[in-house]
Amino acid sequence: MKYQRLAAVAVLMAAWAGPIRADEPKPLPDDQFDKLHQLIKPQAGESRWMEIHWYPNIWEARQKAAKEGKPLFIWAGSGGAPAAGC
Amino acid sequence: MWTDASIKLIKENFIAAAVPTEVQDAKGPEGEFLRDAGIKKHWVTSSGYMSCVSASGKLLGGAPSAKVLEGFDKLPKDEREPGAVTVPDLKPAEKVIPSPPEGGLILKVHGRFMSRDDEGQLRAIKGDDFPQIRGKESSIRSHQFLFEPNTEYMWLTKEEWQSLVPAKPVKGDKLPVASAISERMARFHLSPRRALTSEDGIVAKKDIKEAKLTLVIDDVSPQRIRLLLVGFVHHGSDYDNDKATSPNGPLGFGYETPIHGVLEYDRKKEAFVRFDIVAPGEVWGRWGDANGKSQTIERPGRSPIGFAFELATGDSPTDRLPPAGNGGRALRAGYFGASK
Repeated sequence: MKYQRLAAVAVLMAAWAGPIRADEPKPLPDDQFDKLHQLIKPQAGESRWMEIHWYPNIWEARQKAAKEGKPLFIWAGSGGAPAAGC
Repeated sequence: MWTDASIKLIKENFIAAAVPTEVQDAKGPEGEFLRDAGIKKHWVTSSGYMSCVSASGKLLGGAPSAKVLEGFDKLPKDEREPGAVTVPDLKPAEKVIPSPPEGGLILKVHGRFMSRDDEGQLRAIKGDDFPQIRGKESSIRSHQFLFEPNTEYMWLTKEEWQSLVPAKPVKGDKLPVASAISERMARFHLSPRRALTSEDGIVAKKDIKEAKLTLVIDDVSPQRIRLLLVGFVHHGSDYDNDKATSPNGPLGFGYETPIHGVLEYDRKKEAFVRFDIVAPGEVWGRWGDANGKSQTIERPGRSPIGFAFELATGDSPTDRLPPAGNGGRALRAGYFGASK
């Protein structure tokens, strides 16, 4: 369903036909810009891991967990903190 | 993993943290806390891991679950009741993960794989757009992250965002944006790998062929200044259609994108109240994994990939996650200054 919504928005973006050089910068019309911005951002039901409040470090999360009497849930990634789909 | 039930369980019962695995090896209290909890037995490679730990330092299990909560409830009261465990503040030198610059500006950066319909118009990506997935339902499920945006964060210092505010704004005037900002955007944020994963994705300075941004003053009133941002970024190879036959094609990785932005500065609040940017770019060539093998996301020819920036509201600690998912690595690679 969400793909259908995205596709519907995409149809309205007929003026964009790929990268162009910036030698003569030409801003996008407001309506095209807004639709493109919306198209790329997460839609309802996407990137659901972002619905969780992620503390950026162990210690701040530990302090919060101790204060509220809750366990920590740590998501660790290799090159960087996750909060992503991997 | 990310269902209504799992998100509810986490939000109601856990305090979540997202960190690089290298924190387990850090000197100081944060690394010691993880090592004392025995985390090194579980975070054995550089892959992603989920672990639950009590504030007292007891390892409770992997991903959040009712079983993990049962284990937590069985701990002595002095290890689990609110306020029972004392956690002193860290000294500044003990902090492993950097914090956003004081008075700075944080932007959310969303990256998404895209495609085009038969008439060349942009549309959402589908399973059969990836030759190595070929529309197989099982493959689509296991690669679901390719079909949703990945989000990370860009930081500007107070001096940097203030440099974007024209002192004497006149409609139609053009202002160049400092190369420190445009190169940061190109190297750390307009990186197609960032649409795939939070891991790595930092572009070497030598691979940047163009990173140019210009502000155009669009409207001026006593209340606000409206600015349009335009620019272009290119890094990696030059496109060569005959060689862009990936997967397994001979053309090296390349990417270019126009940049369009709408910025609004509130002159009374002395703050940006809108900072929306889009980068509807294209990527080509061989991404390669750590062993140089072709990756699932590789497609023949030029493939659309989009990035959208917006102001972070700051109402969630998530907004303070460091740039490129790992502030230490990004900062060491020249995020704010001299770069490699």
